[in-house]
Amino acid sequence: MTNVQAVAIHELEQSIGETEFLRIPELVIDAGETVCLQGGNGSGKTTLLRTLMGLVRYNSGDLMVLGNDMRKIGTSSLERLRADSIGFIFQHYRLVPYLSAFDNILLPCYFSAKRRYEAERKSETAAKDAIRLIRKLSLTDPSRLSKNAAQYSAGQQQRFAIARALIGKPEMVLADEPASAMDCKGKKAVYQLLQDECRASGATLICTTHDENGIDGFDRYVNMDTLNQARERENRWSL
Amino acid sequence: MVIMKIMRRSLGQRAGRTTISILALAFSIALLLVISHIHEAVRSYARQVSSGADLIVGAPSQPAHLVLYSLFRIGPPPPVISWDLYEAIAGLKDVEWAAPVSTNESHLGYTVTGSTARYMETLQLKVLNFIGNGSGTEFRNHRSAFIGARLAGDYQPGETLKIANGFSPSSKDEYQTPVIIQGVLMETGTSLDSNILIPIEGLRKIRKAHGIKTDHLNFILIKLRHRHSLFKVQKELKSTFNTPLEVVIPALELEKLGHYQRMLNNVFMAMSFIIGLLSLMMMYFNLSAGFAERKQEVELLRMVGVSPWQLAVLTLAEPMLQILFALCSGVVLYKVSTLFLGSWIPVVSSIALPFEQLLWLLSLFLLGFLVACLPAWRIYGFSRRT
Repeated sequence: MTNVQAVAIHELEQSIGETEFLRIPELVIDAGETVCLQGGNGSGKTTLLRTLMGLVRYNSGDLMVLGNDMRKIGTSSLERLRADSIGFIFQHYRLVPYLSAFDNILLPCYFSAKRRYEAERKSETAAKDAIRLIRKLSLTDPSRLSKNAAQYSAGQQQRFAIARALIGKPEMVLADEPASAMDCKGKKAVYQLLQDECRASGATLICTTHDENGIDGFDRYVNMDTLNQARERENRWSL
Repeated sequence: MVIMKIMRRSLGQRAGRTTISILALAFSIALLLVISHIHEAVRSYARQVSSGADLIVGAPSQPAHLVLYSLFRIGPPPPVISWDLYEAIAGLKDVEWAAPVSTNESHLGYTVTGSTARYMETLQLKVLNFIGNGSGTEFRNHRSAFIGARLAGDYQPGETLKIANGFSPSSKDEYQTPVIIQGVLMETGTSLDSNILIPIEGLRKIRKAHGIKTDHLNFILIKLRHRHSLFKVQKELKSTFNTPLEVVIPALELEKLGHYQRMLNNVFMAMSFIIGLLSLMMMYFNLSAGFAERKQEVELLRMVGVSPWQLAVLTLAEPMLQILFALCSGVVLYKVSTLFLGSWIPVVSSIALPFEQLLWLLSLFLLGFLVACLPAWRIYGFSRRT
């Protein structure tokens, strides 16, 4: 296994006004590693993932994502990095409500030639790859994906969001509480799928959760309450 | 391709609100066009009709009243003048022709108009002849009659009608000599449609047969040999005869009335333009209200590689499509309305809308474009920051 770094953080600080959200002295995640970021509400899990995606600008420190310096990266390079190399699962799934579930899953393939090529390489067509992923997510009838995304249950919508993030073999998958709307069995299936898919394709997986138990199989578990020193300071102030 | 799909589906999701905006805009566009059309049609009809006669002579009354009654049958008939006056006027050397018109007789409440074919030509009346093979407005003989379109259902060609003196006649007022229906006047949309037109010479004979000695009429239409003698003849007619007369120039009177018509038209135009503006504002508020919910959508689409320009075009295209659709629907609605109006008021269908009216549509479209640009610009800015 090569020790190429997927994410490298050094003295990362992110704040808005007086409020400090992130202060991470050091964090390195190797390419192909599966990491679970655990922590309570407000520990900065989502902010960290959004910073890794370039959705949130940080104030100081260094951040490298898949070899890209996030401070220097240009708009179009960031666009391509996100579209071609990163699969993201939002906490509230964020499907386009008026598109069918199928179109939602295929969305990255419509805008990234690389993702479409990888999906076709895996299963002949991108559509077949979408069905393959859906089958793995314990959906009983993958053929019924033509309804608008908003018409499915929360658990099903979350599965579509996961399939959307995994399609086209991204180099890194960022999952923000990917199984929050699922029962215990569903949760296990989701974490298992994410790990299996990422390991099979060599993708880096960074997953956040506030669950402390029943999350198995990750290469590494990082406690956000310890890692993010900004929250510690905030807690001290509130005492 | 997928952008088109997103746009189509997104529009579909907002179908309810979108439909209301489109309907309101289409309605205001149709209203704008219909008002302009009616205004233009009435103006052009009035211009055509008034150009047929240079002067109208009647007993002293309001000039506008005399013109409106003699050309469009609006208002009550003016007081009578004597037949001798007509003969004297017709004999003037400047007068090319004079058409005497009498509206003092009736048949079961329907006005009987006694006049000549000249009068019918001036008013651009067209007839459907049933008796004889003539297609013009010539009366076949002194006892022939043309009935208005509204009477056509109740009377057959060849049927005879008895007419009476006045509008609430007793049995002794009824003339013994009947008239025979020769044909039907094509619909005009004016009260002439419930008139019976007979030749004035025939009417005079019928009156004489009934024992009425003095002939009278209500007004005379005059066409001059040379239009430059208009004011001279007007002055002459007012001063020459012992009887006081009202001599009006219809084109001049209609021009004065046209001023009020234009004012009214402008008010209606402004109202429909305001409706258009309100519907554009409604469209804008719909777009702005959905901005918060669209932020998440935009963020997601940015994640999968949609560029800020694509998102801006997407946001711009939605309202522009709505506006285009509303414009087309408005024009179709206007065309259908004028067809319907044309069968109701025939003069309305006889004109083509002037090109200037299309400027109203263009200005609404440009305003719509500006309205649509605002949310598109906001989305573009937000996408750039995402």
